[in-house]
Amino acid sequence: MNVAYPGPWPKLEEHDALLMDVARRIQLAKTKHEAAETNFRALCQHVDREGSSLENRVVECYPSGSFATGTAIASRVAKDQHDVDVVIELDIPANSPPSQILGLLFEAISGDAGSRYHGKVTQNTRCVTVEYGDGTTVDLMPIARIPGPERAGNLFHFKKETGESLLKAVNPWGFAKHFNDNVKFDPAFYDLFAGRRLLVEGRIVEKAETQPMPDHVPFEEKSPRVVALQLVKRTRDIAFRAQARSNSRKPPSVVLNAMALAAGPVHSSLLDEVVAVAAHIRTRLTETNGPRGTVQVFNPAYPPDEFTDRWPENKQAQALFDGDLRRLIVGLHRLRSDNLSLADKRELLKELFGETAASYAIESTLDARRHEMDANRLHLGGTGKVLGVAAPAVVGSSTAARSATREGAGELSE
Amino acid sequence: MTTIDQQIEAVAKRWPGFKVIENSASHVEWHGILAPDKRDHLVRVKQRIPMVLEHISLHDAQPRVQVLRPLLERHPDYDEGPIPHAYVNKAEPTLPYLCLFSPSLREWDVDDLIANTTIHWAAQWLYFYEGWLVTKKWRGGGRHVDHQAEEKRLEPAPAPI
Repeated sequence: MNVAYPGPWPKLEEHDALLMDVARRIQLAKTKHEAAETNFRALCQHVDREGSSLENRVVECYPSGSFATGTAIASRVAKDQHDVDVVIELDIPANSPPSQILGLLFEAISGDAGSRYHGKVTQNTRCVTVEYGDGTTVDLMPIARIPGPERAGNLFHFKKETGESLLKAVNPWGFAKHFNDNVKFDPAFYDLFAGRRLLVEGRIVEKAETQPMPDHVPFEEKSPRVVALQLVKRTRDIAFRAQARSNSRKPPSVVLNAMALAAGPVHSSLLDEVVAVAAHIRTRLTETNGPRGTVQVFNPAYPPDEFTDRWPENKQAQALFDGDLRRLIVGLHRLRSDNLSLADKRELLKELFGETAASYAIESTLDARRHEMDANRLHLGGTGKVLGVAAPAVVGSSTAARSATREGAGELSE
Repeated sequence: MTTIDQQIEAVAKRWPGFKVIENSASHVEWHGILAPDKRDHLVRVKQRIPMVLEHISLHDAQPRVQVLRPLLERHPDYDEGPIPHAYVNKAEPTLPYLCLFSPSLREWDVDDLIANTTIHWAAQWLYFYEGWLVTKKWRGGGRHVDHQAEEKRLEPAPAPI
């Protein structure tokens, strides 16, 4: 359904608009989000089924990580693939041998040859991963409850290659709640983010009209901090695609989320917010108080749960990610301050966020300008510099007397 | 009808970088720089007021805009290529005229100030041309006249412009 919305026309600096466009492209479509929810619930029921090695042992099942904090992004943007982390709480002794629990979960999901998930399941060090036909994955992490805050539990760590085996007290549910409680809804940002999408889609109209709401409203971001985190994660994912890093562990999202909570007041400009979050994380990355001489980050909802127990492995890993964030900050300053061409902007965004998102952002910019032009709101500066809707304050700028339709082919008589 | 002197005055005020190259009571030619994205484009804008008895359509009476430097790139493999929304110029093939408005919808007429219409539209055209070079897609809108509409256009104008 094509629905038009009345203004206001979003007044955004172009660098913020570009980052919103990138953010919109790296997010999961609502349908994918819903499919992920359906998939993991079906998986948990499958584990709990009659005849399963964990029959009637499933206490609860809920998303953790990025899905639970609304900071999920696609793992492969062009293919709209994503990875979902899910906690599966089991009714088992909390001190069960990790190899046994992970093995039982693997068995319960994999089932017999020819069954639904057979051949699509991998046992990892702390979870069991199921891969779907579209490349989407669900990581099921078993935990068993322990005394402590609500839904605290032991996770089961077993590394086949080395025989390393341990229990770790965690509380992913507590962290997700803490994060969501501490990231405030920002209605002004929400309106701008939604307004930008509507402008790009050509669905803003001059006057209020009574129109039915669309059936399918996409997710809109509610906080610049969440979107900033998504962009930082996307930069991380792009940086870690490099061949030279194929064996390197990525900084976990939960570490970034926890650090970002303490990044100070939220900025209304998305670019400022990304810079602030990245700069704050860089400050934390100067810390060396952990046993490996690296930074330590703990679950603020449950301090025995250390998020940095596996990353950074050493100071080099810490420095590597610091370099990625420095490049992100430098790039964003260029995006804001340098007089970049559309080609330059696409190149810069490609380096930071990947080709698909960069191309989408440039095309969105052109589409937004087109819709401003069609509504005769496209202000031009003294040499015709395109300034957009936000420009009436620029001296010497103006719009055309009216909009026009480019038409024609063939020749003109001389 | 807006006179050439009025056109010159309005362009000088809104587009001070545009210089009159030659003019008479019935025609004018400006050269000026437009930089809607980042790089400069030297453009030529010409306008000739038709003679009273001349039977000329709006299509042919429209102000002519050409890009002198850098020459427009030709990309037959791009959307709307080799050059999107331009009129062929047989005399100078590298200097096509930009399609800036719809003559059939009469979006411009000789009462209009070129400063407030044509030059704005040319800058917009160049912005989407820059976007076309980057994305290989024409995002600047427009329409192509179908055969029927073209025939209608070629009919003698019912009244002088």
